[in-house]
Amino acid sequence: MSYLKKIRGPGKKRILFGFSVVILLIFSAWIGPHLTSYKVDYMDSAHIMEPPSLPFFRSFLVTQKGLQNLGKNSGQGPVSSHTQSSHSPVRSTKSTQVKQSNEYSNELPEQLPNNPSTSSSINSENTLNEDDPYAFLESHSSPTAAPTKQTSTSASADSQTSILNSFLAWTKFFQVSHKHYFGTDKDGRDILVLLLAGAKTCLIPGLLVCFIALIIGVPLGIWSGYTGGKFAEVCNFFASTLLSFPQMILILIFICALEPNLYLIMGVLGLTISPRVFGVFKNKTELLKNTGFILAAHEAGLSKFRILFLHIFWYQCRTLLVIQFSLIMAESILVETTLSYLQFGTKPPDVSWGSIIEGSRMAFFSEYYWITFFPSLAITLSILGFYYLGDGLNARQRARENN
Amino acid sequence: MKVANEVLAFYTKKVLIFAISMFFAAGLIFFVISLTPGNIADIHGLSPTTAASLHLDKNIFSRFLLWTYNAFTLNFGPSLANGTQVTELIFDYAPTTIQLAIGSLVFSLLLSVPLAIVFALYPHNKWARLSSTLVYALSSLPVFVVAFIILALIFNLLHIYPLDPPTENAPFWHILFYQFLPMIVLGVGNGTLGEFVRLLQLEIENTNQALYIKSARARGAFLFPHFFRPVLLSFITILVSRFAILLGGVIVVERIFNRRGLGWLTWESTLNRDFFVLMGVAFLTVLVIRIFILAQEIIIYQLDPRRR
Amino acid sequence: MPGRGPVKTTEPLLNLQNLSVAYGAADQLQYVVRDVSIKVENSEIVGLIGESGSGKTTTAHALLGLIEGIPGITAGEGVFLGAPCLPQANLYIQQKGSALKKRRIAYQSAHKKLLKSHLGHTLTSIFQEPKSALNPFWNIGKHLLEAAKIGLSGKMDEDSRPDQIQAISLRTLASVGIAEGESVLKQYPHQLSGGLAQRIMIAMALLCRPRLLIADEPTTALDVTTQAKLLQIFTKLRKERGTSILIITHDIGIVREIADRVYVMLKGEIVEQGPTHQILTAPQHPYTQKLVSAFYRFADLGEPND
Repeated sequence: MSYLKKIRGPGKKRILFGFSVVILLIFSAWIGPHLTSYKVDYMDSAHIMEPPSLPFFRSFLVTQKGLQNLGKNSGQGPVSSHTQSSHSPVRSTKSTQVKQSNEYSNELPEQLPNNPSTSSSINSENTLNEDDPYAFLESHSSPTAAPTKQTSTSASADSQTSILNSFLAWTKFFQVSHKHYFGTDKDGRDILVLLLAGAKTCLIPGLLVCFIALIIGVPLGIWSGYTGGKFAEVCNFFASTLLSFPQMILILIFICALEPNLYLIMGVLGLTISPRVFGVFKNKTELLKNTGFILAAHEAGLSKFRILFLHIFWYQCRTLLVIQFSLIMAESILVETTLSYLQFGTKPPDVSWGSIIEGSRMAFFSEYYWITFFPSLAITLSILGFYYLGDGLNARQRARENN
Repeated sequence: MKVANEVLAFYTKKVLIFAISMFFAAGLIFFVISLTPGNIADIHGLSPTTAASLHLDKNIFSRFLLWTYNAFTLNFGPSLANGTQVTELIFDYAPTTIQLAIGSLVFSLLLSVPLAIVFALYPHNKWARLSSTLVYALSSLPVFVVAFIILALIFNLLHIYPLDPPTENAPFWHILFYQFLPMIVLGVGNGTLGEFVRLLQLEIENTNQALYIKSARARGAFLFPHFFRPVLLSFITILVSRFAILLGGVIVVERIFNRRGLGWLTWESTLNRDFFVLMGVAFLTVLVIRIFILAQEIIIYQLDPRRR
Repeated sequence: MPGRGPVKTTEPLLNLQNLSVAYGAADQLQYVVRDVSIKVENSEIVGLIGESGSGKTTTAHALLGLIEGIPGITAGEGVFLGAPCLPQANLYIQQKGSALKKRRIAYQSAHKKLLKSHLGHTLTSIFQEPKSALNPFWNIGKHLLEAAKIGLSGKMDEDSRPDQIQAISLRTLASVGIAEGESVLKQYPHQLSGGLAQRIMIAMALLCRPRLLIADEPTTALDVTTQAKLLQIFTKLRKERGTSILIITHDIGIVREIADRVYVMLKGEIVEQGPTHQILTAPQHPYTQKLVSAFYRFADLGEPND
């Protein structure tokens, strides 16, 4: 905390923004899914394509007139009357509208259960395990047609009104009302849960990319910067050869040859980023090589390894390492979401934000904006967070060097 | 004579590096494809005669040499999905992609030069700061997110649906958007516009600090001719360095806007595991990028007196 | 000859009064130059001595409109050739943030407007690192062409033709002691030696026949023989064309050779001023005494001549 207060000078806002986004991402990846009432693979078939229940987003819909005109031109989105009424009419109109849509019909389930009996059968089929202490919350406040049951808390309706249960119900704030805060996608999965689960798919492969890029780039960069000569020329040659490949093409070649395994792809991505890291560290080492204190260390007889590792790398290049780390993370999230958008990234049950957007591509122009909007927002926030973190640290480092 | 010798040495070295790195690139492409588990012929169900005609039964080194030799004469073999020669396929689909790439580069460069000048001249202006944050933020997003933002804005504000090809009586805006929207999206997304603006701005600011600009100011000289050459040089460098990343974004843009170009071809052939097409496209892409890099090095060598 | 002041006309060529330049935030203002007043008469060589960090370069930059920091010039009045050369600097250092920046931008544009007619015509300058002060992408011919276009515009219109400008450039190069002008015109700055580059800068500064030449540490980057040649050029300038020169340096030897009057600066303030002879023989301020005694101890020359 005190470190945060010590951040001064240029880049302060950027660093704070980036740092908070990183904390938010880590939080959502590991703790988030436990705080929501739905699990990732729970498909709420009664609530397919349901709009978000937060009041601001409910009113933020595409105008209807334009949709009616467009429905004639392209046969894209369904023509709908209105969607802003209370829960049950919405669901019934949704189910009929959805059947009428042209583009979407072959992607939706054919039968949309709309009666309590089917809903309770869903509840019995759901994938919550029996020893989940909050299972009783699900069974009692079921997400079915009757709106009155929505608002009742389970604690009052149930016979097991122990103090422990009511306390647990109170602590699980999000679980009390069973609304889909950000809406659902075409399978009935809650968007909020998907967002939180997708954070893990961003972070862990990104760490792999950073690790590989830095492991290859940093030692080679520092060594060739310090040694120079033939070794540096050969490394430059390989770096420029690798840089003349577009990232996507190399990744697609790997996918074509081998399985589209996400970790393999991230390894290849790390390989393509390493020339840039190599260049950065080589330039920095070359700049440092002729400074007074390195020359003095050389004259004093310190071993090359000690100079390189301690003086150059640990004292000087540490900040550079952190900056490169965050910039590479930003880039890896970008590439990973792009690949998931192209259907090459994660396979179900793993969730990625790009695949959510991909699945809803055509729904974007009907009133189902939320399926594309929230993942895009999440992608934007995470990329910008890492990018501004690296950028802010960079600005701060440059200001420090200029002084 | 000494100067002529130096120039000759420079060019020879560059051409040699070009040739050797193309060879290594071909080697990398071939090596990765050869990691395919199983036999290519078996995967696609080719008859033994077809496999023999494609030399798929020979060992890996001769296959590599044969492929590389053919690749340098732009003969990549047939597409395993539909049998047409890969070269024909590429030439069929290339115009769309070339148009897209060049259009997006032109758009990006045309937009980035005034932006960089404004951001460098007015660093303390509130509006300049706000728009620079906006430009960098928008630009660091992936291409499809930028596409969705722009499409959502057009859709919500103008009630226009520009993804269909325009019909006979289509209004003017429809044709305009249909042609230029992919270029705009490709030019802005994946960090392209942001990198251009940032590097140009950095170059202008660095040049501004130089002593010769100060002394030009003290002479009352026009500053624009003094800025022109260094900014042009960094311009060319950034252009070439971002070109590779641009080609990566082409795939996504062609998918969003339903264009049939090289990006779409790459994606389709990855899905169909059409190895020859993919290898051909990859080789050609690397070739084009290396030619651009070579051209950039030559131009900088000629224009920058300090290198000589 | 140094020590003999020129004949004083009624108005000095440059009359700078109470110049102050400061940097930093309003509550932490650091004055780089405080209350400096400098007068330069016609056909006079004035020296401005001080160690590094004494604010002499900043004074020169303030005169030329090159101050970029915030808040920059906070006070001062200057008259050059009868017209003001510094805008009214109302004390706006108490303002903060965007109001301060707006005042500063307004001040800078007013300053540039005032100097527009002088820079490159009547008021020119040369800088410390001659090779860096030339555009590395242009050859010398282009530099001289630009200097001629700026300096001679409006003065002699028939001289704007390229061959005339070429002739003038060669003549000016010869006058600063460069023999093979033709080959030098095709060369680039990084191919020249320091002395040659500095002489070219002087040539560029002289093309327009200025009234005042501000020389900021002109000899610091050069060796002693080249130094001597440059000083010869300066004296020739004063004698033949009547140009005044304001030489800024930390080297007393230079000032001893050619300056008529000397100002001594310490930490942004002028601590002593007067004719060279008087400063060198009878310095009043303790800092000046230290400077002079250090010089004579190393030079081992005893009393200066005449």
